[in-house]
Amino acid sequence: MIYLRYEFNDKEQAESKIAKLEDVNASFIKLDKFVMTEGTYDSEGVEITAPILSEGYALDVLWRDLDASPYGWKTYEVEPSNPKHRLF
Amino acid sequence: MMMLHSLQDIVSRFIDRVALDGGTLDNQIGLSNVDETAVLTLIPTAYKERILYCILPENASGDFDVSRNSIATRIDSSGEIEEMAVNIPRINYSTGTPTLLVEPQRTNLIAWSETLGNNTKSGGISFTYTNPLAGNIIEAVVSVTNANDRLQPSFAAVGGRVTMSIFVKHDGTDFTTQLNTFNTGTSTLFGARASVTSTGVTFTSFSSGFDDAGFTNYGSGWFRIFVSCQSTTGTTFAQWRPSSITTTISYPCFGYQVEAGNTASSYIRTAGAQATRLADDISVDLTSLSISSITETIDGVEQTPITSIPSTYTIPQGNINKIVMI
Repeated sequence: MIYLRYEFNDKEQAESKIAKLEDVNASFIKLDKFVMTEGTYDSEGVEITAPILSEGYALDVLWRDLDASPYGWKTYEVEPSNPKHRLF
Repeated sequence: MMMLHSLQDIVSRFIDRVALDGGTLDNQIGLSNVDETAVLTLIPTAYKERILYCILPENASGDFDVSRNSIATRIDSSGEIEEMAVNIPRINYSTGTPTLLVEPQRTNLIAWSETLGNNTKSGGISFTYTNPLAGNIIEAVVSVTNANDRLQPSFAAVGGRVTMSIFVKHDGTDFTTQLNTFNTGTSTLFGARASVTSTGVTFTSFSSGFDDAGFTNYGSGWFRIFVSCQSTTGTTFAQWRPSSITTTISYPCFGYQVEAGNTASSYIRTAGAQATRLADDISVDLTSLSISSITETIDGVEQTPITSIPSTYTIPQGNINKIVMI
């Protein structure tokens, strides 16, 4: 069992990769984008600068029967130093 | 000829079987009301890692396999939130009586569910933190002086409904709080105002309104309030105004949670990052048992019996009172 993080170009690419898997026991956590920098606001709550979102489509996976990414997934692995998501 | 055992003997042997196997007997509620002729009876009473014990049959052939590869919380028999380890089933007391809690995968989109002041804020909202509650949950006391004082962490819009929830304590003074989303893609607000008294919570629509709202009363003044509303496009701000009217007020709180979906699921603690509780998967292999009918009691309602019997039966999601197979 291994928990890995991925970043795909977009949702469609991620869904396509999942659809091509066969007989895989895994949990897919579809995270999409993260807020990397929160926006700033004045005392009335009016936005001064907008939040900045991450690029790409984030997907975390718990592979129950594997100890490494399956074929074709390794390219999309990421190892952020300060992950924006974790398993509870 | 099948020999029928007295129910008292069956219960006694069940308790012994759980103890010998190193299991935990959580409660004995409902064990005095078991149909001795059933092939399999599950009442949420006893468990250990990966196993949920059945009172019938009187051996391990009917015990359920439990899989959930993440921590999850339950309300214990004292009414406190308790974190349950990986692959431990959850006997939950949120309604006062024990039920088996079976939930889907959910992600708390709020990065700081307890150290609430670390979230993006607006106005003069402030927090002081007190001694941990049971389960080492960090309780905060929120203070505001203005209706505009609020938390407003943001997340990428989910393109559908989200459910916002928070635990608040009525500490002697009635208050009206507000949970709403603001979506940058459509510049729309959805949400509700919740008027909290010592006995309950009432909701009124705010701006473009809400899809659902409700509360759970945990006693001692504690309520969990939830509001379901829309997260459309762009960035969604999860705004919580502790007081939606211009007044100075302070009260205890914790557990800010926003999740995609129509309901507030069990509490998912976060501390600096979003967190996901994985789904509960609880099933039993029926190939060695002769079953003709399965009757599930969920949320106190007995369901229409299942007569097309699968080789592996998986417990549906919900609050499970009892499962009887004949």
